[in-house]
Amino acid sequence: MDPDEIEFTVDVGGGADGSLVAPHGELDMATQGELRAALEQQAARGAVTLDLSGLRFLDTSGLRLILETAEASARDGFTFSVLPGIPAVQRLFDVAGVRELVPFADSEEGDKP
Amino acid sequence: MELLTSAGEIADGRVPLDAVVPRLLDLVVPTLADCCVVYGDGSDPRVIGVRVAGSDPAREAAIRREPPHRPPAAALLLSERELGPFAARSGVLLALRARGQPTGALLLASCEPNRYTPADLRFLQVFAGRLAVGLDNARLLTAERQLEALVGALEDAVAVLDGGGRIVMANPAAARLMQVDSVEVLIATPPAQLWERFALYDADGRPLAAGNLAWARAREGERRPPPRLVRRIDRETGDQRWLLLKSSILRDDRDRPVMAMYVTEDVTAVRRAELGQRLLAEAGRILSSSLDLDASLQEVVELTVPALADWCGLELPGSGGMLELAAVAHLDPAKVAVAHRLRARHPVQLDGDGDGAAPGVIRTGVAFRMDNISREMVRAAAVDAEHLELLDSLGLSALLVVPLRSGGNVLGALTLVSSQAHRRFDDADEAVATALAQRVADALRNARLLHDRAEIANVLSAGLRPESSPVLPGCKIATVYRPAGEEVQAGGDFYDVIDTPSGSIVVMGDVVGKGAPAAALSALSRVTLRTAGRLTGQAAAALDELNHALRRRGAMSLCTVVAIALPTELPGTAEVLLAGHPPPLLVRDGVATPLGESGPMLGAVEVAEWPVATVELALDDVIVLYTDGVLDSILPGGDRFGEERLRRLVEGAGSDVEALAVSLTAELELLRLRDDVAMLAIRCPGPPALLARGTLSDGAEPLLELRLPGGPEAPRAARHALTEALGGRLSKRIEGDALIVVSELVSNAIRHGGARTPGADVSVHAVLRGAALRIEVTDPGPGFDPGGHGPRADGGYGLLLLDRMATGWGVSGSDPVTVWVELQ
Repeated sequence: MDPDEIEFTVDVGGGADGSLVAPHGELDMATQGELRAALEQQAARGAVTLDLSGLRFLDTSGLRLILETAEASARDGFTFSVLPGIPAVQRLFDVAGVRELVPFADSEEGDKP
Repeated sequence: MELLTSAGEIADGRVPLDAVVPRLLDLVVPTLADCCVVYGDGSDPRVIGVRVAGSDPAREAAIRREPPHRPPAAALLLSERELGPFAARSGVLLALRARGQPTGALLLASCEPNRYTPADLRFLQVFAGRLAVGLDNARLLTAERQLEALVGALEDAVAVLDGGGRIVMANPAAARLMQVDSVEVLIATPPAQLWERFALYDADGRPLAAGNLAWARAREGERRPPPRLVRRIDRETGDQRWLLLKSSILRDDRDRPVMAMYVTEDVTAVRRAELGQRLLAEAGRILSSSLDLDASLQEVVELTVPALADWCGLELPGSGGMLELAAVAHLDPAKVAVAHRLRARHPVQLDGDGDGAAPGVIRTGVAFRMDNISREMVRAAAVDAEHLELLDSLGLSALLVVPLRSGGNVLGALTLVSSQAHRRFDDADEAVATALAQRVADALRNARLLHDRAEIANVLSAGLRPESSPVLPGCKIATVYRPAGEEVQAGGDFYDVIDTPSGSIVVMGDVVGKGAPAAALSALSRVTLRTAGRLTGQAAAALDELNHALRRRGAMSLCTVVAIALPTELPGTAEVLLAGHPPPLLVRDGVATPLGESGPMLGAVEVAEWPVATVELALDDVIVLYTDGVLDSILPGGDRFGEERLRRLVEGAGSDVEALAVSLTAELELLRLRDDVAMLAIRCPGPPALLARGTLSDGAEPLLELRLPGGPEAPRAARHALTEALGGRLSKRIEGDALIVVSELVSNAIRHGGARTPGADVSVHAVLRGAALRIEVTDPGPGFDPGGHGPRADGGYGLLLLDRMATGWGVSGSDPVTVWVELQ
């Protein structure tokens, strides 16, 4: 399998309330713009659930985007929650020491799908 | 006489006009006349009724078309000529008068000649007088009925009270408002008795006294009573209404109030919406305007009293699984202490079942409502007499507890209590309370995020504190560091010694602000200076980069910095840059001299240049860097510590930097600190060592030699190449970290290192020795681009990651520049 074959895609509008934004593939400086556009579009509708489970890779370009979205949600008043990703993705939040800044859905309520 | 009696019966009957006229005509025709016409009064003299004996509609219609007769001054016999259209031989025209006013005319005509004689006129006039009264009553009755119909259709309750305070007229809306079956019942009941079933409060929540009942204005003698807003609670059902009472007073000739008309509008829905919106808007303003959350929460709960409740408490999970009363407000301020005492004596456990509604609401996130709380229920809930007394004194008749919900989490509960008997909370109350609780919860969550950030700042700046003496080979360094903040054990002051390929840079900074936000900003500033300094080896570029970072951050993020680039050998030239920072002191032969020329504070201007002052350093020279917290400390007598005392202290210590630190520390014990205090003194007996290169480069297995075209696709290409080259030989964790590191380094090369486009290449080399991996990323330079004003997307996290993931990392070269990282 050639990993280059796996294209980055963003699914928008899934989930029970249609607020789901689910990126697939690798999130880095080349792909964060596409996710940012999807998040902003969904935020304008009042609620965003970012599902990281389809991500294979995340670096600080994506981390920054997630933190900015969390800040924007507090400032602009839309709801924002994040469904965690694979361990390699979650590790970045821990190493950067920002896990508490990200509203992970599993960490409080246990309503992980 | 019989006729007069019958006429009187018309007059006395309570029959409307359209029924009276035919009766009148029945009475007259044919007994008194063959033809009878009733005309209206002066303002409308048209025919009201006409009757011709034997019923002749064609003739009746003809008579209606004739010009009307006006009421004569006295009874008048009509000539045959005047009677032409009536085809009559004799006739009489009579005035109808009532209440002293002509109200119309009555014409009688007969086919007999001389049917009416002057002798009859007196009788006929009396007869007409009786009829006139009957018609007038009927007319009034009709007008009254029209008015009644009009008032009856009104949605507003209308009640007219006479001088004695009895209701003389009311509409069905008034009956509905007062919750009685009909207008008749309403009129039959004295108003005081009607109002008894309600508790009344004014707009400020004060009870209205019995003598000040809603419909009791007529006795107050006010000329134009202003509308009054009354909150009315049904003592039986707890139904709460907001009523707007408008009254007008009818006065007699002597200006005495005779009647009062009340129009009562039910403004409950409007008032609720208005109160709710005002409450929420005000709460939003309070919560967003202050960083002092405790004070804001207190202000918010005070808003709800009395608009929503008589007392309001905010409960948050506290230490030891207990619920803490974070804020409380009561209509009677004296009772706030009672609420706190109650909680102190009878703590509530978050997972306790018998401790009221709040724990359950917090656990389940479902609001709780309870009405009609009786004294018996309170008594049953009380654990002892004292508890009961405290509960009683608070007053408890209805309860509403809503969860503080934010982002799917319940952070606490908002409790609203009404002490007013029979008041109950309804859906509208719950909706407002829920919206309010949501705002409070969002504010709490934001504050916690801020607190968490402060914690992170603590962690980030932990590197500042324990590193009491940064090590610079060949140099002696002594430091003093004292944060003024109480909550955060790291302050806004920082210092660092940065190793760069071209020498060491000593920096000290002071961010504007105190406490957690300052610590966070200080961490950012330190990391940025360190990163940029390490990558460029230039103090000016480091300042420029931090300036951009602060500008990008917005919200007046300001920082003063002094940076000194030390020479690699002595004697040599040091460069001193000041960005709004107090000038460092050069101590040579026991004399202190300020260094540098001040430039703008970082974050204050978009683009700036900082003057570079050079100073020739010799062996045993001491440089003392400090923040203005030292100068601004207050002596026991109230004087500022100031420049002169610092200079004497520094000169007294001579070239012994440790002695300087000890004497400043001793001095600080006596001072009152107004800001963070930092001091760093450095003595250079020999050349500061250059940054050591990594150790892995020798004798390692080459893993990857890659040249990538620049541009945003490069990080991904580098990651994939590295994954392939590693072939699963390292642990998942190290491989994952390595991918992040290579992604960061390549991204950084693209953003800042001039490899923005595919035309410029980035090189990635990797070697492996055992379980240790070394990655080198080289870009065409100029290393770090100090002129680049574009957004820096990594926000400083990239370098933080390197620091945490790598066992070692560094920078070599300046054009091209290579960043190396070792992982193990």
